[in-house]
Amino acid sequence: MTTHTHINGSPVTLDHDPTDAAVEVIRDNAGLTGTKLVCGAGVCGACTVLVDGKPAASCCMPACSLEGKQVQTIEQFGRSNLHPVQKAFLVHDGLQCGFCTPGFIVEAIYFYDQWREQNGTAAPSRETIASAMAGHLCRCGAYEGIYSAIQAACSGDFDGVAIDDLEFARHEGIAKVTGEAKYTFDVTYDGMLVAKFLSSPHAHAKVISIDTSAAEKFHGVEAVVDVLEDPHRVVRYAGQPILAVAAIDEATASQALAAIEVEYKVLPFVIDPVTAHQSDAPVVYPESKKLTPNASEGPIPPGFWKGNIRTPLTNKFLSSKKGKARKALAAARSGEDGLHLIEHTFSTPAQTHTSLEPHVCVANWDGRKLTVHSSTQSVHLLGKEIAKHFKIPRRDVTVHAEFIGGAFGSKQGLILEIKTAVALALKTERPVKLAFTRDEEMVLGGFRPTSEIEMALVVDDDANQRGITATAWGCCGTAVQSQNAPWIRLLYNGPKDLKDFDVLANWGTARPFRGPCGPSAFWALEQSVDQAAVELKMDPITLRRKWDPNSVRGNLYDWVESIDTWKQRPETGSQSGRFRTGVGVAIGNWFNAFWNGAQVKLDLTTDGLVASCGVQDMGQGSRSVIGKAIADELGISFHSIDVQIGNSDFVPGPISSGSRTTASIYPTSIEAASMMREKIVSAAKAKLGLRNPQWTEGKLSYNGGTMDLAELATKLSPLSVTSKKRGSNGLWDVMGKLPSGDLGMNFTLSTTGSICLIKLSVDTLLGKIHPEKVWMGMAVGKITNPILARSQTYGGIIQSLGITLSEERKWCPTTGTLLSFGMEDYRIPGIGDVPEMEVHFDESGFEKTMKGGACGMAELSNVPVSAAVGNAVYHATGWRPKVLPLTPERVIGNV
Amino acid sequence: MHIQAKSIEEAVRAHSTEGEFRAGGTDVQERIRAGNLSLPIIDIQSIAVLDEIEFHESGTTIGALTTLESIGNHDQLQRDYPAFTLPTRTLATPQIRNFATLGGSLCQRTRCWYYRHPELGCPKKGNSDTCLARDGNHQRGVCFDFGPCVAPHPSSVGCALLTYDAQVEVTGRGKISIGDLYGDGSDPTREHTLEKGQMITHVHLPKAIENEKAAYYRMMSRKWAEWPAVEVVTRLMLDGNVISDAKLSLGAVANIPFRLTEVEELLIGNPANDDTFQSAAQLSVARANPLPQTGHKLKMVVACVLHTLQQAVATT
Repeated sequence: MTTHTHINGSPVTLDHDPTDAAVEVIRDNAGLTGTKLVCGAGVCGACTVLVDGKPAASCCMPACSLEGKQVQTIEQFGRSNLHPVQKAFLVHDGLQCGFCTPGFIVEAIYFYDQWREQNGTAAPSRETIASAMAGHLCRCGAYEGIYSAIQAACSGDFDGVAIDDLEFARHEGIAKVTGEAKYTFDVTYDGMLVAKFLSSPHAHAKVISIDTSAAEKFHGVEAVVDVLEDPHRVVRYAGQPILAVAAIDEATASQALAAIEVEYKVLPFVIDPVTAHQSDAPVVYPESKKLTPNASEGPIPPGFWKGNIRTPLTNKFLSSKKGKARKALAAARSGEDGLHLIEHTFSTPAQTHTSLEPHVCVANWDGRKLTVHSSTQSVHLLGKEIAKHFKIPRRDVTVHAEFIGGAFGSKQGLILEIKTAVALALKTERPVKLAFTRDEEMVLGGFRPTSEIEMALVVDDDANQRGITATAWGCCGTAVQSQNAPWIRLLYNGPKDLKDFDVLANWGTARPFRGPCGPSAFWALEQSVDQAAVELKMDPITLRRKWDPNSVRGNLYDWVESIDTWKQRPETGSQSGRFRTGVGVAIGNWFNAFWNGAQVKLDLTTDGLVASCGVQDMGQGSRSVIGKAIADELGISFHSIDVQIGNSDFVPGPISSGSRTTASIYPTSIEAASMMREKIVSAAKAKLGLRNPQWTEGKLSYNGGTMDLAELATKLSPLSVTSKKRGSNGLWDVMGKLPSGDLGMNFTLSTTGSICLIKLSVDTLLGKIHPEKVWMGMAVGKITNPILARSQTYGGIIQSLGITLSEERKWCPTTGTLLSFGMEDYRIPGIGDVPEMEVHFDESGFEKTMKGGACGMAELSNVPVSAAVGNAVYHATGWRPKVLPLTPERVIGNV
Repeated sequence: MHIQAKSIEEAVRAHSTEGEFRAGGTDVQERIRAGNLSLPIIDIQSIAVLDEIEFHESGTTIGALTTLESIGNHDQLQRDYPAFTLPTRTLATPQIRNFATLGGSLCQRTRCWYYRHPELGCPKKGNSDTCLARDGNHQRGVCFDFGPCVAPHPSSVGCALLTYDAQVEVTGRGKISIGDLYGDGSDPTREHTLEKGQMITHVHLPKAIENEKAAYYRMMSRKWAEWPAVEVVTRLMLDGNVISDAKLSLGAVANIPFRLTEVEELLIGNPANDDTFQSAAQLSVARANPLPQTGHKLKMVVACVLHTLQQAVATT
């Protein structure tokens, strides 16, 4: 059918199917890819456009209802000059990965117009903004910046402010607030094929036969490939892909999938990890245990198996003074005088990454060169991996990942969508796009493992810690390598008996997620410590100082003790009435990682300085780290540097996992800048014959004058420098000494830590927990870019509040199907769920131990939050929560 | 497989044996994506004069194509029918409310996982004779088990209109009560009693009552934008401190929204105080018969009813 409409002021005639939604014609017919399609169910707001001036969820709006309407997309705003709302988002950093940003901005512009008309330049309250923005979700957790941005824009802070006068921290910010940023999801090629998976409806089944003959005869079906790598031809979870079809369009691919016949032998399956423990439970891998995918970033250690339970051999190295810890536990259990036993089982659910940009890959093989666009956390390494896997010379493979719409650990390496898209592109010799649907994203995209931790803590009357014992069960679905127990070692001295076990179930595979198993480990440990303080009638921070005399974390304790909310908190359990205030504290710690092979290249061209690195940005701000390090080192403007990343042909950059990105590219950027400075000075002498040239205050001064970078560029370009590899940090960087040398690791944990203080209210009638304010103290060494560091910390807090209060996966026990397969049933925090947040950085103690003095912070901002909430709930009510998430159904009746 | 209806007659004729009406499309588009729609699509959005709000002597008439946003933000509706506009402003998201229609919100399809999931069976999709949620996962299901389907009815608007004894004008049936629109929940294939060829054209609200005290609570795990675990719409009329009339309806706990008539009877004639409210709240689950996985909802219902009673009297 045909629809006549106006988009961004121009008349447009759209030919489309009656079933099409507005988002499809806006993106595909009109080519306006600033409007994103994410949830497809009107939940997340990434597809928001204005229709006759009103915000619409264009994924849930029939395309034909645009007839005769005026449509405005993000591309309408900021064509000639940025809208005040866009400027405010830049300056207040109301964005990270940027995938939700166009939707937020379109809605915020509508709100701004309404607000200004009715209220002038009064600032709207957080509540008002939250209700207006209730139809938008941001997984990075940029909400704090969004609140500030909307308040500032409405207050008139950006009226008439020129772009050139804006100071903002996110180097690529303008591309993100205008919808110009092209993500892999937005990439198209002429003649591009669309690939789709055929997936198993069974949670466990042997594939007996597959008949694709009918499907392959369909007009427009170009290739079918088998993607089931299991040598036993067994699918082990519902939704596991078996085949992929590439066709000229989505409808043809869908028709082809429907025509494929698969014969299965259905096998028994297990969904509930508790059932999976039992000796008569169906076994997930009955044929061989060698097939299990790895849910962690480290190697899989050897292990013993019994049914679905795996005992890693590393358990042998987890404990210290194991006998003492066991003896203390036995004594406390037998009721020995003077001992206190805190013994509980704590559990946490799986947490799905829920990146707004799904896993997606576009591959193009022109017969000689392979170009791959991938939403990946490891652009440089991926180039190598693809070349090796497909036996193509490395120089003929280029991977692009200029913009990535969230990843959080789930998009590392040569994973299914990349392998499949490349295989189809090679087979068809045409460009192929494979994007997970949202349903697939929820099943295949990865998740943080579930945990169940049986923890016992024994203390004596003198507040000495006599031992910690913990038996941790983690479920990574069909993968292995949940690791809860190691993190229990990261804070307190004393005897420990720690054991980790994997328990497998017929789900998809877990993937690393921002401090894998950290939140669960600290959920157990830090609530146990809090309970010990209760039993001992001691101040919880005093007790922690006693057990953790570290000076860096001592600074964090000092900081919390200076906060009035902490000082003035009521006695635990002293409140009555319906609404009770809870104040809780918890600490966390994490190791630091680096990519010792990282380099940065800097070119002086006629257009100015161009920095490049094969790193990527998922929202944490890689361009900004590079740009700011160079700008500060040379004393020049941050925005004058062109920073190019997200290309595997650039000099090697780090993989973005384990919080190693900033720590790897910051010192190398400084080094590149310093090399460029020397090169300019010597070239000025040699080529221009300047006398006594010196670089001062962003300029070259010499006897008789000065020359700025622009002038130097015209006279000296091209000049090029490449930093040395980052290299290892020193003696303790054991991994950095290994032959490959790229991965660096620091397990000396005396320089890092994070502390979370939370104030919340508990509605004891309705079972609702309202976080009111969070204070997060971070000891993560040098803060290279305070605004972005703050934003990332907010994100860590918010993601943790999600798993603490609302995020939960639901399964069908009879079919093994994931039921919470969309974003309305998997409940990530919205803007209204976000409390005020205050972040404090303690930068001490780092300079001597780490190159550049910077380390990662993604995990540290995340790991103590759940436990702080648990401790605050106990403080308010006297009820110790043990099972997350604390949805009303779990709280009501307990408080 | 698509009809662009320009009149009610044309729409109804097109729908006589099969197909689905599409107005705002907020539910239909989501189901198209999941391959869960019976063709043809009959677009009714451009039918004229079905989006008007008319106040008259005997009450108020609202066209079925009126958007939820224009109802929720309507000053006079907010004054006259607060228990109707409160949920209308709270449900879904602003973008959805801007285009979702009154008729669509009454007739939207269930949110049941088994209905929505492309691979699973459900009598409402016609690919299963029995409800798989009953023996499967019904943690977000009903705790008042009225019939074969164990998924809560999705219409918050329907729940609210029940407290006004609103009437719905349906082609071929004339004016029927909201209660009759939803029936008794015994039909496993539908969320309402509309047959093919029947379309809601208007909703009629009775004359407004001055000074009614209204409250709405939607229990969610987050602050906004979630399908409720329980929802309660409460209207109280006070004579001094005595409750002269009460209308309460409960949503998200049964396969139809329904009135808590026993609670209303208890409230009427009693003082509006905590004792009365506590007894009323306890009575609200008298008819409940929870499923194995929905027992937790009983506490929620009691708490939500108590909360709305307290909220209602606290309004000025």
